[in-house]
Amino acid sequence: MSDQRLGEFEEIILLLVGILADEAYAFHIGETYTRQTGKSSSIGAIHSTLSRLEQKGFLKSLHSDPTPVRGGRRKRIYRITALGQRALTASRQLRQSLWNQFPGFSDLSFHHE
Amino acid sequence: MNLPKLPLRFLEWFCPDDLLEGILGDLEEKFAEDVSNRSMRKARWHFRWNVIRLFHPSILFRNPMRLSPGPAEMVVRHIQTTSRQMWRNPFYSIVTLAGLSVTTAFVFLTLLFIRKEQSFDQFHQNKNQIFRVYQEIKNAETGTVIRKSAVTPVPLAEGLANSFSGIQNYTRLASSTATVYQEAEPFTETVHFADAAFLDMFDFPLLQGNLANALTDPLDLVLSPDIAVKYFGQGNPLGQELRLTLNDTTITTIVRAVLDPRKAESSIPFDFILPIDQYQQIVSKDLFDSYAYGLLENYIQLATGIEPKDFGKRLRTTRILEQDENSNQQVFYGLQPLSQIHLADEVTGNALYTSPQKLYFLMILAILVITIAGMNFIILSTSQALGRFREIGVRKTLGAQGFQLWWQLMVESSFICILAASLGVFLAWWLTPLFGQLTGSPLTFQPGWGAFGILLLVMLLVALTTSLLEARIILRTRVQDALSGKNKNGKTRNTLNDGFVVLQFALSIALVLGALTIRRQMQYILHKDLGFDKERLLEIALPATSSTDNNLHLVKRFAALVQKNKQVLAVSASMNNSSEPWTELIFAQSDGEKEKIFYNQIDANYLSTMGIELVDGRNFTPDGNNASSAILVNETLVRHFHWDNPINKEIPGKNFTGSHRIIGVVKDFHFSSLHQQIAPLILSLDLEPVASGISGVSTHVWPANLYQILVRIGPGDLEPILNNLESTWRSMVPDQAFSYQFVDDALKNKYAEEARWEKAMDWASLFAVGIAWLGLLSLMRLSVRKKTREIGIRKVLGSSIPAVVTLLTRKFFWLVLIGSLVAWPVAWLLLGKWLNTFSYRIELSPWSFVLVGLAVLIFTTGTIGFQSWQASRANPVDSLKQE
Repeated sequence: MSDQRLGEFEEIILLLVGILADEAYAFHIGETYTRQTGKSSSIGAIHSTLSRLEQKGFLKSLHSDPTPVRGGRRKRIYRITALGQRALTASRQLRQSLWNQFPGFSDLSFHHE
Repeated sequence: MNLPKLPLRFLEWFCPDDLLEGILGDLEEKFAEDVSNRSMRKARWHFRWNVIRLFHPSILFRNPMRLSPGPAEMVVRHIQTTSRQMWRNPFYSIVTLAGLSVTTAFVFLTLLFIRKEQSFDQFHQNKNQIFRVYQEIKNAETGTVIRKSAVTPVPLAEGLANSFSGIQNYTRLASSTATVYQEAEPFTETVHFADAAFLDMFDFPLLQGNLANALTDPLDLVLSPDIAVKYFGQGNPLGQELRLTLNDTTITTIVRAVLDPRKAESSIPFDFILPIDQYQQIVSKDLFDSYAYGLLENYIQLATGIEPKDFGKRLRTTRILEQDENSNQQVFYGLQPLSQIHLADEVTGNALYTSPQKLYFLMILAILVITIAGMNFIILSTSQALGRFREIGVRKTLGAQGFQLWWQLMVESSFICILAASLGVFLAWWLTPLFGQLTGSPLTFQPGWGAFGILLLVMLLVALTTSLLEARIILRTRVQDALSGKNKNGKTRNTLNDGFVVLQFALSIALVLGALTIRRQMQYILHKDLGFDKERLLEIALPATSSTDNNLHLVKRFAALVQKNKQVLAVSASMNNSSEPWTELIFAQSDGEKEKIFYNQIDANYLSTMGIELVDGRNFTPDGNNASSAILVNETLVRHFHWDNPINKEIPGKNFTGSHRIIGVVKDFHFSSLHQQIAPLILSLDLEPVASGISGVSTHVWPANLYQILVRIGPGDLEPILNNLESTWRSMVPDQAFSYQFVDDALKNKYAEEARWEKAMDWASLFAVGIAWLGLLSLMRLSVRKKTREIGIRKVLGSSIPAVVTLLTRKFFWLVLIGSLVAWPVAWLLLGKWLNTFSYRIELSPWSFVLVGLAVLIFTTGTIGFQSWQASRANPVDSLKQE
């Protein structure tokens, strides 16, 4: 099937979806992204990433109840799938193991103190 | 909410439905936030920008799990299926693609060529008001047209302008050779003579100088850029002097303008233009003013608002010159539009033209080729559709409707056709220079949208036909038959396919026959005995001086000098040369008839140098004691006047003063093209004997004089002889270029056009036959493959290999036979018609027809025989296991 790798932006979006839980719809994800990273984002970019992640099977989506603020339209709420969880975990484990092998890691933490 | 309308509609159009709601909601929320945080204007701009950012493949091609997929997505799916199908059958894919794309290239190039030919002379702004005047000579009693010619008298245009209202401008256009000097070095060039109005009427782009005053002074000169570079290098040619010799007058002209002749798309090619007055250096004053001599072309420009048709009618009904009351020939004048000169051949003139028949011929060939290729594609695709019954069966079971199945097939065929067409266009682009060489006129690859449009249309038509035929077969098949791989409708389809195959055989046979016949006729012409020896015969252009005596003297001195070399066998002189039409004299008869007889002025060594036989009487003697009344005639002239004993007879004519006697008759020799019969001919040492009887001339070579030296060279190296001739020439006439041609080369050039068409025809028919074969070959493969099971069963039941081969080959035997029967009569008729344009032609032999048919038969049965032999050798166990 399609590519199972996870890009950096994709990983962050995936994490944000997990963080925002029931409020994980594109607009809100974009806002949170900007707030957390300080970088700007466009709805287009967020949407295409979300739909790519959905195609890869990392996300699934469902409709929320209609809200008046959006002209009565339903939100498309994203949820992380088991596959998404696994991909996140794999990514995190990879980083963890790389940090653990990093010789300067313990020194680095001492210097900070 | 005040969302911008246009981006909203755009979003609704491209966004998949299941995403739209979520996205729109987000956009609206963002919009609301922007409105409250910033401004309405900013918010609207953000909205637009965001919509554009959403126009992205991951949104557009989002995997949509929908029950009714949109048409665009189905097209993508169908193309996917098609490419898989093509991958799986590389043989058929290559055959189909190659056939169609090569055909496209061929047709495309043909279209380019035709368009180029049609674009001739179209760049003149007044092209619809400019006409070439031609004269039409009719027999007064029978009303039959004797001749149409655009070579008309010098005073004609001026005369018309004086007697008719409505002519805004006119120009005469004459040409002649001249010697042009660069410093002291002489070059022989073709120069044109025109009125100053020439520059107004025609729109040749001005590159340098000023047109207002060019050609008003007798010493003005207009050049083409090539010539300007040749004589003046990269410097500015304007105001420069150029010395040139016309006949025996040398003038110093001044360059006034450089004009681009656009030779690739103009039927009036020029390099030098001089004022028309200078033409009087070439022809005498009385010829220049006479209506009796056709010498040049006359062009007139009608005033705007004058209807050419009305003007033509006025021209026809008015007598322009006094006509001989007794004459039974009438002269009419007519107008030929400038824009049609290039593609008409019924009026002969000096301008370049292409016979329209050739264009029709090319067009027919293109249509034939595309028909063959289209039929191949249809046959192959429909045959292959049968192999896909299973896929179709599944589709039907899953609920595909007839229309949907057809649509799938249509998408498939269109995809292949358009793919092939694109390859073909690329191929055409690549082959353009080669094709230009082959047709002898440089071609540039600049197809208009029209060419692409036609191409697309043709391809879609082929695709439509194919898919409809396929759909017909498929829809008739019952699902259970389809799924079990059976084909119950094979019979109906085969009659159609067989028809196509017969047609292809017929076309192949006809094309091969055509190519062979054209080839044989050309060989016949190039090797026909012309009545004189054309090998190792050299023609050297003599300076055009006014007196025959001077030239004769020059020839004698030259002969004496070069004949010291034993390799030079003979030297003679002649008025006309081997490449141009000879001079035609017109003798008025007392009964009003006009006798037209060709004429050539020669010297006493002509017959021996040329190798022409004398059949009666005596020849001129080289010692100079020839009666001034002596003339020679050819056998045709004797036959023409029904004389039993021609010696001492006179040519009939009412103005003759009894000044000539026929002293001998020469054997007929071909002095004009083999398209024409040998005509009556007079040969004499000068025009004196027959001059009194002449009432008119039609020629480009005039006045009568010796213009060519003929040198017959014996066996041995040519190089030293040529050097010897040139150095002798330079020592005698240093101010005249040594320009020579070999007679056999000149004759070859005369038929170069035919030779080129022969070559083009060879290639085209080879190509068409190749395409036809490609299709037939794959069809044979298919038909053998379909019978694999049958062969297996037959073998198991004890059939021998030869019996199986015969069984498979038999049908094709009949198809070839029927094809031959269709092709033979058509080819016989068409080729007979073409051969009739030659006066000297080969006969069509029925044997060659039978042989070509037989060759096709052997080739076909051989191919299919080989394939069925292979199939029948296979172990029946394998072939029966197949299903």
